[in-house]
Amino acid sequence: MSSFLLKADSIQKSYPMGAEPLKVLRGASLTVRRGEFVAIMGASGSGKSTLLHIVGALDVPDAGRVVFDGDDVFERPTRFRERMRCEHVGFVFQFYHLLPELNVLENVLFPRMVRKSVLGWLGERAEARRSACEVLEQVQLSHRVNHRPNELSGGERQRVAIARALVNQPQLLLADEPTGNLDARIGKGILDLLCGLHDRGQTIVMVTHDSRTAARADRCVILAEGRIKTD
Amino acid sequence: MYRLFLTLRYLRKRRIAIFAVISVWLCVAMEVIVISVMGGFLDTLKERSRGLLSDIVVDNASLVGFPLYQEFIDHLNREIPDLVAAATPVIYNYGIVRVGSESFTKPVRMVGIRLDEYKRVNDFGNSLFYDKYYPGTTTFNPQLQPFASYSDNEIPKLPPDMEAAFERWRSANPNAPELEKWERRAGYRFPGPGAYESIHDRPPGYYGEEEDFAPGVIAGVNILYHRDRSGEIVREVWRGHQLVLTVMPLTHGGNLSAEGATMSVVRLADDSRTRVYEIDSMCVYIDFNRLQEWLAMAPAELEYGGFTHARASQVLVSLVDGVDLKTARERVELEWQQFLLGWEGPLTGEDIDQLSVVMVETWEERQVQFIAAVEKEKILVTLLFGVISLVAVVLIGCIFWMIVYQKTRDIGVIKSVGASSGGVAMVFVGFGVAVGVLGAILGTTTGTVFVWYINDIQDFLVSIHPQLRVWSPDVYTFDRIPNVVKVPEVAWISVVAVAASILGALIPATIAGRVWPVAALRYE
Repeated sequence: MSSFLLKADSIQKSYPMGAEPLKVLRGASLTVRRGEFVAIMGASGSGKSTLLHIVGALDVPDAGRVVFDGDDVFERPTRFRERMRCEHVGFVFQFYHLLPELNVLENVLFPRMVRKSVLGWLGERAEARRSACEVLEQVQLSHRVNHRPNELSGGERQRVAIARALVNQPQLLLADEPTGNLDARIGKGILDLLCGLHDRGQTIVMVTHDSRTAARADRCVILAEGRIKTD
Repeated sequence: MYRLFLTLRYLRKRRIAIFAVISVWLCVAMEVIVISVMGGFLDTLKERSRGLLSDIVVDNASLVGFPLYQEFIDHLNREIPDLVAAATPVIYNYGIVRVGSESFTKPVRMVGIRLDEYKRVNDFGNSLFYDKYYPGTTTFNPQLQPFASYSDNEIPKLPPDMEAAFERWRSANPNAPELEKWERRAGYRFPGPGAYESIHDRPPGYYGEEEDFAPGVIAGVNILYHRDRSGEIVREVWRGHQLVLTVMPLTHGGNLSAEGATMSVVRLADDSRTRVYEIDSMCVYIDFNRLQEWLAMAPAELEYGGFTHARASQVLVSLVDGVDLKTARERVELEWQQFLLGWEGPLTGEDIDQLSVVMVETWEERQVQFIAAVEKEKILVTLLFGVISLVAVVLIGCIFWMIVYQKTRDIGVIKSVGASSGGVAMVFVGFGVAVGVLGAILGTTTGTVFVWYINDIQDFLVSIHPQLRVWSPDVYTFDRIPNVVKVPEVAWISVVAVAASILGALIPATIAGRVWPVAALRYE
């Protein structure tokens, strides 16, 4: 088994913007080892989130390749990328993106439901619930399982988002500005949580524009002019 | 699993979906009501048409009628007894009825029948009121008015033969619910069934002189009576009360007779409620021979020599059970032609004219134009309401579009945890199914209950104000609104409703499935 979990090679991505397409990524490359905590820093609009989305198979590059756990992600069919997002990658977004109609427990359970049939789910429901409760305990939200997202603080919402990302025990956790929407004290708590996960072996790639946040990672790379400047 | 989970959750939490459910609910209820009432109208029309005509009708569609009707009936009974169960002649004409000494007059359709035979060829016997509760007392024979009076213990009583007849019905129907309202009480008027004039100084019986005897007639229930606010028929004219009938005889050639109108006093022997308003508000039934005589359709010697045959307007033929209607009609037609070819008696030119246009038709053929028109009307109304129901499809489409629009970011989240485009689309298709099923269940229930109680609802409205009557028997032929719901039709409506809901959800669902997760997550 390769020591690299993720390898992004010469990723290019542009978006239509008037007459000239806006070239966001111009050959960005990134390698992430298993168990590594990598922070991607860069100015606003530098393409950090775009790179994160591409390595997480949420977006498709114009050119370049992404290899995840030995598989060339964009050479494989769509179904592979869907399974990858469900089982092997967990996303944490800056704005939490919880489903407002679901309570905390249901939000965390949701990724477990995605690839299950009704009958399959009935057989696995108890186990799924147990592991969701475990993850919620890990993020210290056991007492809030029946609350809806709008009844939680920003920090609590982000903890729920982290719990949701972890419930399927993904190989890779991708966090897009996880503390960007939180005050310093709450943000530190979230960062402590991510560091704790990393200490237990979780591979994490985190996007941030804050150098103090990035300093908590094993390694920090800078994205500028569409390329990784430091790796 | 997440598809079912989200579908049910959105149904519960997205209140806007309630409007989609309500629109399907109302459309389904509307279709159930329309199809049930129109279908019931059509079925009742067919059933009554058969019940009031007979299996086969032989006539020449002329008020003058046609001769040799009795000879033809005898011919049928002789030649095809295995097909013909009964046959009877009928005369139709028009006249005026006046109630006794009152100035109330009304144009009516005079129907000359042989009562016993007529009851055998169709359902007419079941429409008679007094003949039901006083079996055997309805007759066209000359009669006097029956009077009710009080027994020694002040209990109202009818003449003995009426009492005996009523007792026969009561002992055959000991648990009939209507018996309760006819309980007789000392000192009170005779409570029914029916309306009998009371007399106080004599025992119950028939009173009158020789000249007071008058032939009995049966009047359609809507000619003389009206309904009270609860919908009950109020019999304001006593049984046996005098009526005056005026008819205008036609000559053998079809002109109005020079002798002018014939005015005759008759007595109300019974009333008939076929439930076809056109018949119940128009027809007065009288003895065949008597009407034939009044209308100058009886055999008569001509001034210039020779004689005219007796004429009837129609011959009604009922068939033996199990006989195929079309085959029997063809056979009766053949027998008619053979009968005419074999006739060796004298015939005038008018006789030949009248016989040459006689047609043999089944009851269906007879009513085909009317039934086909109602069938088309049913299809048209169903289609019209179906088109209106398309509004529901559009509404569902709009509502789902709005939901997809509102849920764009959630769709991105759902995709970010591995849901496929097809899976996301299926959430909204499932949502459409749920809306359709829920709307169909509610609509079917509402429509069915509404149709079941449609007459009670109308009666309630009429009790508030008579002008709130929505089903006017004058317009719609039947005095009660058809209220039978057919399960297959309701099942079809439900299936179409669910299909329409899916159709409405399909475009928004496709859009939801195509949402690019990154774009959705950036969506604010």
